Amino acid sequence: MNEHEAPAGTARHIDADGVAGLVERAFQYRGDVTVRTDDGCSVTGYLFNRNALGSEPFVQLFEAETGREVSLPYRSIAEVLFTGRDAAAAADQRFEALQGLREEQAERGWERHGA
Amino acid sequence: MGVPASQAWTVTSHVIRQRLAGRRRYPLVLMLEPLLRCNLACAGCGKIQYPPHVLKRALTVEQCLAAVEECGAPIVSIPGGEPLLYPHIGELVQELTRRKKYVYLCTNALLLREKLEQNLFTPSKFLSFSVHMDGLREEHDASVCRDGVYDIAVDAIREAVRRGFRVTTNTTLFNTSEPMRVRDFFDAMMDLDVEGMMVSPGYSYEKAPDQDSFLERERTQELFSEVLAGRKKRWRFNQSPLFLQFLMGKRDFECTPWGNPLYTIFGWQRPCYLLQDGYAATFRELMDETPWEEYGRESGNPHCQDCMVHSGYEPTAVHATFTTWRGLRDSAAATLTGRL
Repeated sequence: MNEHEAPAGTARHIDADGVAGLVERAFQYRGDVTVRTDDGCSVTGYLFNRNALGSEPFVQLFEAETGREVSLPYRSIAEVLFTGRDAAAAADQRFEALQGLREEQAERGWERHGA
Repeated sequence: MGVPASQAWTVTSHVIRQRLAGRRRYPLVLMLEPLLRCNLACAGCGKIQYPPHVLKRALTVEQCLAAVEECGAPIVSIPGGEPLLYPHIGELVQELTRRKKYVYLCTNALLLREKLEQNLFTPSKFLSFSVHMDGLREEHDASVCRDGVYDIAVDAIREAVRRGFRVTTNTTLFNTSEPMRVRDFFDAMMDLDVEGMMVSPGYSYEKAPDQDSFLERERTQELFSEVLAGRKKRWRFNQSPLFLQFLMGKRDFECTPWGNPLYTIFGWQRPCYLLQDGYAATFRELMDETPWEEYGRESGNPHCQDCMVHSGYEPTAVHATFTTWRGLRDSAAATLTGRL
């Protein structure tokens, strides 16, 4: 399954993607994610950074509820859920709607002009 | 060109100091984004699509000043988001100008008149409002996806000029830009008595809503050749003439991604103002640990192939001016004659 086929809320399991690939998709995603760790805890927020280089690869999130910055090592990540709305996709929809409206207005203008 | 002599000298002396210190990589302009929130949603912008709790975040003034000190660039550009939405913008600008940093406050001008009337800013050679204007009324309002914005911005520019502020314009061109209309637009901006204009092709942000209007490299060169051919003497540009010649395809440059580093609510953005490949905690970490060889046209990085944006190539043009006799000669000739 690729990114575009995954609506918000779809689970992303490490087994299917590998942690690096999963983190990369979460980093590219413009919505909140929920990261579940292998000790049973979870963090929901915006994953704004990842660093796979160095001795201890890690991700950084802004927690949605508290605004707190959280850092988690890759090795602790058990699962990532794409739980938040994709803000980029929402912007695309608004833009398409605006374009449609403009085209409609232009057509109406031409009709009036023609009449 | 439209850059004041004191600012040109500040940049020149900064470059000379860096060269004498043997630094191969150094910043010229710090791009400082105190927040990502904006009061517009432009078709070609990919910088503001984040969850609401991220858009509510902002850097503190202390964080901003620490980044400025750490970076050491003589010029600080404040884009965003819309910086006039930043609650501490007056204090931030005051602190920066007190430190003798040349500040470009990049704004869509929707709130500019209001802030001017509140006397939030004081005219200074260190402060310039860089007003986002993507063309004449029809083109600009279409670009920002809201009718009436052009007229508001023009009114605010007039008011800022009347109050004695430095005002420049910042224009992004797309594949929908018509050369004659752009030339008319340059005339209109000069009629407003702005100090100078900045112009650049748009960067093809992956997250921008309109993915069909970005320019490819050859089309960029064609467009800018037509727009700037027989450049009118009254057109003043607040940027390097060598960069404009690069846009016209008259010279070839490689990108200098570290020239205009970006500090934002996420940290120091790798590798440049436009690409988001991660964040460093410190400026030193950004400079020392970014794999620079993976970026720029020569690297083959597909994200860099069509990019000709000023944040990457204007530093190259400035570097060429001060490190080669030919660059210095060509830059001086273009400045004196107005010919590109």
